[in-house]
Amino acid sequence: MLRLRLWALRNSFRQAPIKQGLALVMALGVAFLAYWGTAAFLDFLGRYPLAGPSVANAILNVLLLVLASAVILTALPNAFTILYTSEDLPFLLALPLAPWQVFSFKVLETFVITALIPALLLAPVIWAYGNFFGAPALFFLTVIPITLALFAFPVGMGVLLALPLMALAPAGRAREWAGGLSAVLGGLLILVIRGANPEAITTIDFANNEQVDQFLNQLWNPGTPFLPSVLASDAIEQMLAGGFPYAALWLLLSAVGFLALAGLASIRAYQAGWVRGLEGTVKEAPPRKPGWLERTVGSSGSVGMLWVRDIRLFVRDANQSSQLILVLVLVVLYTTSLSAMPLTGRPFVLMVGYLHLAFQAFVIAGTGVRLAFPLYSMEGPGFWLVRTAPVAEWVVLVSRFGLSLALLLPLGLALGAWSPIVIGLPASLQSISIWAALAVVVLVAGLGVGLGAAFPKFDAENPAEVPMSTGGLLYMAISLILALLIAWIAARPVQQVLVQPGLDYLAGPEGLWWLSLLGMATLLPAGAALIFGYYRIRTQAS
Amino acid sequence: MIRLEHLGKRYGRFIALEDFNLEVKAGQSLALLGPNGAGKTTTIRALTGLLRPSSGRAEVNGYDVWAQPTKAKASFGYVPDRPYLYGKLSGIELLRFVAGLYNLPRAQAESRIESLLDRFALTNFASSLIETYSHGMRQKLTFCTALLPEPPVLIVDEPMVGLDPRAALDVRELLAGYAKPGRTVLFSTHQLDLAEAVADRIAVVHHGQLRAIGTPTEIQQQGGLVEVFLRLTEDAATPALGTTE
Repeated sequence: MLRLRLWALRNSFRQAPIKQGLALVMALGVAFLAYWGTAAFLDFLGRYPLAGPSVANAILNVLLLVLASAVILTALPNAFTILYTSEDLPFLLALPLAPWQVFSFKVLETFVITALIPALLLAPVIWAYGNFFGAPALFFLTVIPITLALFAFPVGMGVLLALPLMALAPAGRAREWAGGLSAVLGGLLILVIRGANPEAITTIDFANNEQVDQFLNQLWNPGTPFLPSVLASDAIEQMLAGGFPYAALWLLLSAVGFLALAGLASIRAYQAGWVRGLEGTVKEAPPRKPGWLERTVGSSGSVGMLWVRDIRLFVRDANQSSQLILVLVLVVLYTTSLSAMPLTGRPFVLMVGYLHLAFQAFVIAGTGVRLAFPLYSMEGPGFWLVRTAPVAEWVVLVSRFGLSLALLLPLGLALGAWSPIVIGLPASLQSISIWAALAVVVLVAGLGVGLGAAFPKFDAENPAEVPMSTGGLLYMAISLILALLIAWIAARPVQQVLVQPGLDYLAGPEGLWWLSLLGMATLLPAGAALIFGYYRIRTQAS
Repeated sequence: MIRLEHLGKRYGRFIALEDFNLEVKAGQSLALLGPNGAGKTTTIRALTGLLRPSSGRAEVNGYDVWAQPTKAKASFGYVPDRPYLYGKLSGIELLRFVAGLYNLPRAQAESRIESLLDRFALTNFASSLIETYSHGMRQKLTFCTALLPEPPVLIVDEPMVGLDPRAALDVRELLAGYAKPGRTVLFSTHQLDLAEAVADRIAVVHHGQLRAIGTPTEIQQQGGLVEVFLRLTEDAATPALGTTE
């Protein structure tokens, strides 16, 4: 089985040697950057001999924890794809091989695919640590198995989490439930990290020795010694000190054991899942009358019916609808971070308010990558039904634009209206914030849908894959530039309110001009992108 | 009802379709017959507005598919060879969606949906999600979507793929009967017996060119469809039975 994979790898390299070679060079470049960046950072910390080593240790701990947690998020969907739904599984199981051999190989494949890139990032970071602290030569070799062993736990966890999902999710829907669960876990992870209150470090009085001692003590002694990340950290520390790495031994043994357990469990889960697949036959369900969505939204003709379809597909796909949780987490994270700032004094409030006006544009543009740009591509393989129906291309494009507005508006309003209240901005700047957020929503919806239609990727399996293209890069670059432009436009009212407290800027002589400028900066690019998208659809129908 | 004039499609040096001329009149059904990769699906995709031709024009019901797309598309129903349907919609939701795209009045749409579900034996599963349907059920549902607006032209790409014997018989009857009240049917197939039994005329396509066209009787006179098909789809140039109508 391993030889088969190596042959496939060799063939793909032979087929496109330049492309594969470039990918390899890029991967090595990323690894080098990780090494170089860490070395530079450690050099900087080295200037502070009292706190530097403690902070370096704490950061390594956090990095190990975050990477290991992040790997769980990708391990779960990967476990489904590789262990239960991969196309070669029936072929391999039909060969004269014991199931444990096949599933051990599949667990190994899940492990390699999930952990390869994080390991590529982490190993150079640890090498840089070793170099900085003058580690013995053996350290640099041992780092690789330690890194791999660390990631064995989240991969095993992903495989094991797939088990109850396989049993509990409705037949045929386990994979999308896995995607949904990953999004929820991702949201929780972000909230947990936020809950750790990282800004607390700024409140330490470094002139107070007692506070500094307490802080350093906390950094050296994390409260959860049995976490794999802490074991890995201990192993690194022991090796740096030149002692026998008991922690590394324990980490490696338990990682192998954990993966073996996951492999055994997956044999059983596959059999149960296969039976569930057989049970997933169509159930009788006679015709139902049109629902309220069809009677209301759907009554407005083809655009309405396109929206009804989109809403149903979005809500019924756990993989998709769970993205709303991430957006909600994003809003909470953003506003709580703002409220955590020590906002004392009017000039400081105004400065943070200005930063908010700039940041909200970046946040909405970033969300547009996921909620606006992929909308046209997500017509996907079912697009034949719409393209052979008497529906003009512009109708489809406008319906995508409307949908992206509907998805982004709640986010825009939450950021534009709620955040200024949290910061305590004056009423005049609160309305500026709302107008700016609305303008950015229109901009992002138009830019995302237009460029998304101009550079579609109909074969993408999920919306996250769509922006990984020339069009996606173009969208990100243009939206970044325009977000900066909006930040520049927003500077004027903030500056005016700073010099004239109590000024109602929008009601003043400049208000209308400012709104017109904002409108032009957002509507023109949005319209241009939509027209460009329409032109490309008309000329490039494959 | 269907007219292809000098239709061509190139992908770089590769010619998928070359100077393709064809006409199918009202009341007629035509089978496009050819081996794998002959150009049948390319022809159908250019005719349905899914693939922009490199040259020539395609007309349905008097409307140019690429110049007047909405009018042309309102005139035909289409069943692709590998129909992807939205798995997260139920069968009846999909049909209401299609009715909305064609702007059918609600009462008329509901009545048509009821009748089609009944005709294709899908009534009892109408509100089940399509992702739970078997391949044959999906194929039947695709026929429902194509027939829902009662189009004057029906275009079907490989109609028998994945159908059970009962459904295959239903589709055979549908293809044989749909054209009779002054409508038009064009379908592609590999199955020589289906083409011979159902179509008023048969067009043999090979290497992106129309090699022959004629009625089943004319083909019979040339030694039978199997003989003609094998002879025409050999790479050596063979004289055609007739010219395009």
